[in-house]
Amino acid sequence: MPGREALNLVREFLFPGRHRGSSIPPLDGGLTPNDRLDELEPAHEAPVQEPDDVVLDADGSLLVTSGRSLLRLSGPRFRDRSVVASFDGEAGAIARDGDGGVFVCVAGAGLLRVGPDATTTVVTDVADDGQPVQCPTGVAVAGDGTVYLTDGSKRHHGGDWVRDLMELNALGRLLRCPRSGGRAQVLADGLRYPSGLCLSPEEDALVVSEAWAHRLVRYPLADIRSPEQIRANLPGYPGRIAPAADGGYWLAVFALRTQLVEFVLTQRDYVEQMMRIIEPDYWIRPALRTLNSGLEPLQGGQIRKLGVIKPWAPPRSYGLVARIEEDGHAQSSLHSRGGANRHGVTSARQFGDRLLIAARGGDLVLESTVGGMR
Amino acid sequence: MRKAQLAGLRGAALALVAGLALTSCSTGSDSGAESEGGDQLPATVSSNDLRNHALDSLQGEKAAFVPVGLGTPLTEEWARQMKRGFEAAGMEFVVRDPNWDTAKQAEAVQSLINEKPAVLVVHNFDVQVLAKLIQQAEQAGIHVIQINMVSNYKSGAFVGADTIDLGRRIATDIVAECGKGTSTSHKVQIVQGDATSGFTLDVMAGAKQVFDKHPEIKVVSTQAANWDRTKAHDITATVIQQHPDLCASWGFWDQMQYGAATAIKEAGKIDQVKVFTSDHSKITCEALRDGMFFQSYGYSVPTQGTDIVAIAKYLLQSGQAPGTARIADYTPLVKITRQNWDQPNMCYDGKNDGLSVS
Amino acid sequence: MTASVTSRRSARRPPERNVIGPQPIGKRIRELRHRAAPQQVFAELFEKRWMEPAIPLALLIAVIVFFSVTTPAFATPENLLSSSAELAEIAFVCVGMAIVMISGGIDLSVGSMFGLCNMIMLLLITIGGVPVLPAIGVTLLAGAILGSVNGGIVAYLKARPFLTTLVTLIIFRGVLNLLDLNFAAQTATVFVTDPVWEWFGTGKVAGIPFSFITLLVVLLLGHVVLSRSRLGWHITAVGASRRAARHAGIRVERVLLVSYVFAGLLCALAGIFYAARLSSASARVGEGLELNVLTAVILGGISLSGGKGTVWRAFIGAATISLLGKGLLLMNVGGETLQTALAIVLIVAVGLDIKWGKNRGKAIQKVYVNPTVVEYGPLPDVRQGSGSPFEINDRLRDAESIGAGEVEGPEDVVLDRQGRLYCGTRQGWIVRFSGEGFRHKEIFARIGGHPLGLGFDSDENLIVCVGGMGLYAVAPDGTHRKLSDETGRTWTRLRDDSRLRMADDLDITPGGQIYFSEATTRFDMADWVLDGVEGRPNGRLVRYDPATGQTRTVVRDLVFPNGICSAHDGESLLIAQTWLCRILRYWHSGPRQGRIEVFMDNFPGYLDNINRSSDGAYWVALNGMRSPAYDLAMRMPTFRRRMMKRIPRDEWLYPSMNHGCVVKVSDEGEVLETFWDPGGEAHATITSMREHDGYLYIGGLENNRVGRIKLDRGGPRTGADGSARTASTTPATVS
Repeated sequence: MPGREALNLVREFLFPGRHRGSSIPPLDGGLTPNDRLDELEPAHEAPVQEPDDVVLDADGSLLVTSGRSLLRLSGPRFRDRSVVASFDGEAGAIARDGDGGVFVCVAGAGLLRVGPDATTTVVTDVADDGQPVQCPTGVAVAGDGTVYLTDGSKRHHGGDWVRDLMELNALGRLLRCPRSGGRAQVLADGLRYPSGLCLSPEEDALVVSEAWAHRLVRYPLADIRSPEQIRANLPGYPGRIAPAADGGYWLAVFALRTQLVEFVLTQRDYVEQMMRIIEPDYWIRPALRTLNSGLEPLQGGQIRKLGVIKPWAPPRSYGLVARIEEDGHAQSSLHSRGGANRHGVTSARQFGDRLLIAARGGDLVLESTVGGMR
Repeated sequence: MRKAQLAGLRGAALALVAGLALTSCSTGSDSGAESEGGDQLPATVSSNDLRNHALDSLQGEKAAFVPVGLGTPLTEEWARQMKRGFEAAGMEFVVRDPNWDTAKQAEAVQSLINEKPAVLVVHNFDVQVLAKLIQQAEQAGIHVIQINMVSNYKSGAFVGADTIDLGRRIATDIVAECGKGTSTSHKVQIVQGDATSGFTLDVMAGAKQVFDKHPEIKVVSTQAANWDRTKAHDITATVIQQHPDLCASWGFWDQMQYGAATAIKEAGKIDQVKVFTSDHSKITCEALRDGMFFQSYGYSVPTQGTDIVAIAKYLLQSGQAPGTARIADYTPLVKITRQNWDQPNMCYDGKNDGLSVS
Repeated sequence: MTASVTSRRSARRPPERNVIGPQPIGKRIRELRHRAAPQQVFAELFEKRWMEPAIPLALLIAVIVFFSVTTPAFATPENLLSSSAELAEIAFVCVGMAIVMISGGIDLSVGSMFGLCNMIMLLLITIGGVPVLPAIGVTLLAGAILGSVNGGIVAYLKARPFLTTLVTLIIFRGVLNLLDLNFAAQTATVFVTDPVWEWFGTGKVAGIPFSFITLLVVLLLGHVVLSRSRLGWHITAVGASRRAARHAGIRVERVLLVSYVFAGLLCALAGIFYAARLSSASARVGEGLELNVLTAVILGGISLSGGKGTVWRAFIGAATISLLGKGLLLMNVGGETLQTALAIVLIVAVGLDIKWGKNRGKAIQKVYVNPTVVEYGPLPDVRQGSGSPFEINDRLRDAESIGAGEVEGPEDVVLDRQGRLYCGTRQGWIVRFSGEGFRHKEIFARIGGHPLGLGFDSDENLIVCVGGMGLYAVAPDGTHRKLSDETGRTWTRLRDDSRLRMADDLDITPGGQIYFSEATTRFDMADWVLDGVEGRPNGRLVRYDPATGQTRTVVRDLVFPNGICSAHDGESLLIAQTWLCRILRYWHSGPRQGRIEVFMDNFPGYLDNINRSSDGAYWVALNGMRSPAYDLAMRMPTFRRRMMKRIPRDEWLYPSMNHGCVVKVSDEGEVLETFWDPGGEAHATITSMREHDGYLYIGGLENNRVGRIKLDRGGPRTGADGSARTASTTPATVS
């Protein structure tokens, strides 16, 4: 061990900076940082606690998952809100069913359906491999009524996603079930936390984000066994993905990768101890929001100097929505940087020319007109 | 020739006696033979004892050779002959190559003094550079044999051409070709080696003796090309321009003088200017064949190598202290011309050990 | 919370670990293992200026070792002594070349000058019949003249050194050839038997050749001239940047001329020794020497672009090629091989040396910080509702701000008798606020550095610890003077720590002694957090005696001593140790003099300044909070080391510096109350507080204001922060 260290030292001396290191790509091109997320007006007046997903209902109201319930925001400036349904677990992704019903992913429970009369039924909670579906992270309904969903992990669900990251698990699945419900069919297994999916505009393929692999993968429906990676090495952890009206996709990046986290993930002894003795809020981890607490780990660049935290400080949490071309290339993006708080964007969906963004870390649903994106 | 050798031997014998007288009462700072009984063996010694004495005084001893630089046929041939001879006698033989650097040569000799080989063969750059070192070497108990280019300090033995006689002979030949009674300009160019080289000094001395008697010979240029072919070429190219009617060009070494011959040929005067030189490596025979050289003198280079070995053997077996003898072994001089160059073994080529015709 | 350290040894020396009491043996061993710091030695060694020629030196040593092992005849005294004489000659020339190269030029004519001087010397004493000593003088003069020809052309005719000396190389060689042709043969047969001449050739002093002794003298002289004299500095300056040197008023032409004359002189000296040793008046002498010399000098690491190099480097280069040549000669390697070997060695060495020059700084940086194990006690719960004495509140949230946006980095604040507020800023100023609401701001003094700890002495002089400079005093009229900037060096440390690097906080004892902390001797102001990442005892407690003007280190090897406070008993000092989150008590007088105890331990954050309160308690500033993740990292030094190597500094895990608080503790070591600014918007890094007249003033190293809150309790309203004034009748009380 000392010999190897010494050798490394010599190598370091002769060729400094040539170690593999982390290869997080910089935020550039279409991902160049800006403050556009912070400049948006909130869609509503009072804060919505941790909105996870948002869809525009046919009547112009908003359906939002927040905590364990599904809310409906309606009226001018969405001032009125009502609880449509409550669940036993954290409610996540939503997809509108054709007949006015809504599919809701509920952590620990599976895929549920809330009918127009607010009755809740379980669509699927177990896959055909016998493993329960506990961590549904994304749902998409095809025109033929088939429901596709991603199951992030067989071990953790809901707020425990960070444990799945720390354990470097690859326990996610891509599932399919009929609209009527029943056992889900496993289309792909061993994924590294698939965190969202959508159908291509032609409905001939699925695009799945694999969070811990920092990539987007396309599964052609015709040949689901031969997926093709369309974008690798994203600078953040991709979450939900939704089609954009003029081709391409909206990708919610719920946190950015940082060199510290990437480094810590390689230090298994540290991670094990950290998971054992420290509360998850104070781990070295990507987060959906910054608690602004002294108990959170601090990075060198995050020190407040003369009352200001630099916007380019390494972000514990970050807000990022990216407009991705069909080939995975980022065309444009909206950011909320360090120092601001519209972080932890878990969903971005386009309805007509309206873009609805759920910033879970900022307790906000934001709205943008798509024309303003250009 | 013979006479000189005899004289040398006689001197050696005298020195031997003196040496014996000295060593018989000295505590002995000598390197080798003394321990083997010190005194000369009696005449009645058995063949076996003599054999033992002879072999033991050589066995495992070291001989070192410091030329001015390897990479020339001359020095390579010496090294080859010595290596063969010394190793056959069970001795170790090393060559230290200063690569034509005076300071390096001095360093090499200095380091050898520290190592104390039994025999040191030196090929002096000039008459001064090794003078003190040779003296030191002999004081340190090393038999020093000088080869071809002598130093101001005369060590126990010298092997090489009789350079004064060589100078005289070539000068005489030049006088015959360019002197009174010839329809030439009587102009002669001399291309020396290093001006302070023992070889240059002695040959010039010999030449002076002859030319002084022949005032019609006009030495139009005496320059030092430092044993370097390119320099000789450049010098000669200038001289031939200034003196297109040059009669003879005399260079002190075939390797170097070939450059001069080339310059003359380039000037288109090779039939008019007679190129004289000494030494008899392969290039000499080829140049004579091609009409580049007019004549050369060989001095039995392969024999010089073997002579050194013989003298070293003698010095080691005799048991006498280094520096007590003063021997000079002049090897025979052979004139090589365009007529006789093709006789066997006229030139050495590093392969045959042929003896030159005397 | 008070723990007494009982062992006799640790009573005098600071307890280094945060955990007091028995420990499992395994843990102890782990700790000891991490206490040793070979990397630190490595880094500090690398940092030394004299390590610059390490690669050439290593090569030289490698050459010596290699030949000593492989060639029996090499490492003999005879060989080394005779080599030293040969080495001396080339080294003279190398030094000459080096001087010219340092001045930004090059001298290709050294070989010819050397040969020519050799010839001149020999001609003078043989044909000329000149006595030896005058002849030496004339030869040296000749060398100087030859050098001045080069120098004159280069300096005054503004010719390029390369071309100029290339031309003079040929001209001098031509002259030499002429002399050789006409006179050499005559010199050849003359033996000079002058004893002085003999001495020059073969003389030995204590067994060492005279030429080598001369070389040593020349090297010493050269070193002094180059590194200590005005001329040497001028030469270096001209080489580094001719234009800048001219602008600086250096007479560039003269400096250039002089450097070439030096080269000529040294060539002449080399020629004289060569002549004396070998008496060889050959035209060949010194032929091609310029290449060898150039090789040697570059090998030694003297930059071709000028402005860089020492005579020692020239010597190392000369010794390397000289010994390499000698060694190969002894191995009976031929001349051509020698040239090839030299070329290879040169390429390798120069390559390595460039790497060295380029990467040394980076390598030092990579290994400079040397983490060790720091074990903390269980983190006290500070969260609201936890019920602990440290529970977070928002008592600082509504603090008034003084000079918001007008001060940058007020590490410490202090008030004078008139109630005027003083603080240091990172611009190196002392700023004074006065008037109603402290709205009048003025710059009281401009000292430089970063003024940190402040305190008034009995004569109303403001004593200041200036980070990066030392201990200063500012008179009431604003003029400042240095009190101290160095203390005794710790001889067991490789790096010279006598200079005060980061004087941090001070207090004045009733006896008038100024005690101040030097937080770290290894890191600069800008890197102070790195000391925390390292966690080693790099700081010390220093005492300045105003009466004698003497500075003495009182306690060494403290882990980041920060706040200093003279305790209410007048006999002891409280020392707040930032990274260990504890307070030590050190008795400077009285019956327990010299003892050190842990006063309080296991704070939930990193301690900064500490001051007396008006009611017999103490104020302690916490500049940051302990985050569990960082606590864990402090237990895992290899984790931190890897972190520092793999990721850039802005990404490193730091102590949680964005949140701080003020804690009030009693004289018995109990937490009385806390003042938090949750979120740390206004007072992120709280480094100091000062009670004055019912108010508490708050400063912070990274803050842009001074805060003030009213203390909502009665208590003695003393004049100026005279907390101890009531407790003890001392002249110097304000800390």
